Amino acid sequence: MASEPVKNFNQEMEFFVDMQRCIGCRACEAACAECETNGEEPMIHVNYVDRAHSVQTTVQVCMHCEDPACANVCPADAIAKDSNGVVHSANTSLCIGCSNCVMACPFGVPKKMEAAELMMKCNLCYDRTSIGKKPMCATVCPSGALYFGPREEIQKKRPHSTPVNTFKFGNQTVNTKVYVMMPNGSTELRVH
Amino acid sequence: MPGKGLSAYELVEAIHRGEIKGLLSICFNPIVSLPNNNMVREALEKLEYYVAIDFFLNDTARHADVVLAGALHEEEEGTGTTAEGRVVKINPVVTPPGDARTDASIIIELAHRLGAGDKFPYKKSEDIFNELRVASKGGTADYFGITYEKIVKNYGVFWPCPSLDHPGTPRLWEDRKFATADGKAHFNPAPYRPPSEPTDKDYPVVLTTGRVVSQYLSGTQTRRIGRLVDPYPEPLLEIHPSLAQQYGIKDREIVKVKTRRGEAEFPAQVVTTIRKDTVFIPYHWAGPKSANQLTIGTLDPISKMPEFKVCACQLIPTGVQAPPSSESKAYQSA
Ligand code: SF4
Ligand code: SF4
Repeated sequence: MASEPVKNFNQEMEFFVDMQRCIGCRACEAACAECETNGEEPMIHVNYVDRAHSVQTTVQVCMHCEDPACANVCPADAIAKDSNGVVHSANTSLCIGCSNCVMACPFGVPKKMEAAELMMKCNLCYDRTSIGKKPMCATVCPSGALYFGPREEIQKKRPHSTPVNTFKFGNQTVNTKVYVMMPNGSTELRVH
Repeated sequence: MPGKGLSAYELVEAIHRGEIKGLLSICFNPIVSLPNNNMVREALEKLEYYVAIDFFLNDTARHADVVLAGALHEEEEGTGTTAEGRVVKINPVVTPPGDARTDASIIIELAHRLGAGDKFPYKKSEDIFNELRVASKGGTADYFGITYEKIVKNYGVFWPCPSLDHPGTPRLWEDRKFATADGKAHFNPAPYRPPSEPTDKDYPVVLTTGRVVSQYLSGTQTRRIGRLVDPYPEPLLEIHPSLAQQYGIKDREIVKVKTRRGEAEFPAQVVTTIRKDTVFIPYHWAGPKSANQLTIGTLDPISKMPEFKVCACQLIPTGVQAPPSSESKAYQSA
């Protein structure tokens, strides 16, 4: 299933999500929805953490898992991970709209677009990142919650944070291509 | 420069008193944006003649005798001045659809038809800007040295810019000369003035109004855009759990909010992110959902800004749960 790596995909550029910096402006959703390849629907989702007690919002992109649950549960083999580590949105000619991926993803990323009878999710702006550009959301985020660039740069900018890409959901470990910024010394994020 | 006119709310009060009988407005939606809008509606009904220019038919334009279709920012040529004082060039990327026209061309044609064409001899937007340059010469925000050519060449020029060879002033007061009698910077302590309507036993709760992130001003543009409506389709009454408990109000229960100027019903949103003595309602909606039916028309004596942020209200729980938020009703205005 893995194809030849796209030459212009710059592996030095990585995605770091610093959720506590999100101010809920939804500029990322608007920028994502500008794109015609998504049918003008945003593939990034901004939510309140707990509106009853806080105005804090958080942002969710596809984490591009090393062993993607979404692809593993897909009965139609519609979801593919390429050799750059990008997990693509469902192949529209294969997806049967069963929503298995919607249920399986531990980060709640894929959404079933009822009107299209298709699953759609973030593909790391493959049309942009494969030619060395940043994903749209990371070009508009005003607060630095979404950062796409070299690791040294983010470490210089955020000396008190460290990028983490290991998540523990109970006994299940998920490693991802996308990082979240956590307090220094953290090595994994546990979800109980 | 022409002298000071009336501020927006004072203008509506003068209409209400019968002192102003005709109105020509551009992008003005006072029936949503001004406080005490039951008075605003009465005033609009008293107007003998009202012409509204706007790029979308706004809620106030329903009271107009004539509505003229104006243009959006993207359809006009001109300049804008940013909050940092940088004058930037605006170029049209599309032309206004149908019979819509740029606001300036509407004003110029009206002037000609009313026999005052000689005072509006402008051929292009730059002619209007050049008049502003002359009019502002020697003032605090001096545009005299700013030309279209200079703006384009420098990606914007900061005022004050008193002469053609002046580069503009990106940072004010770097020369430490202040426009005061002694040339020094002054701190101006603002004496505390209590709100004009304190709470009392009849109206015991503080009402404050404001905005939500997905809507803009009176919603003329943003209540028409599905993606901006979805995150917050209708105004909610933010209330602290302890105040809600005092009245037995549950989350999403419809609450009647009453002030000395009006009343309206809103679903409750019970949150700990608000003070216990205060409720909040965003103001972007029209008609029965308008928070400005409740607000007070007292103005700050200097800035003339209305007291949108504080008045006294009464909460009356209805015991009825609100249906789920419905985006389709967002643009409903009456
Ligand atoms: S985050 Fe969810 S959608 Fe993205 S690769 Fe992992 S399992 Fe699939
Ligand atoms: S653009 Fe950035 S700050 Fe704004 S909602 Fe998205 S992640 Fe949050």
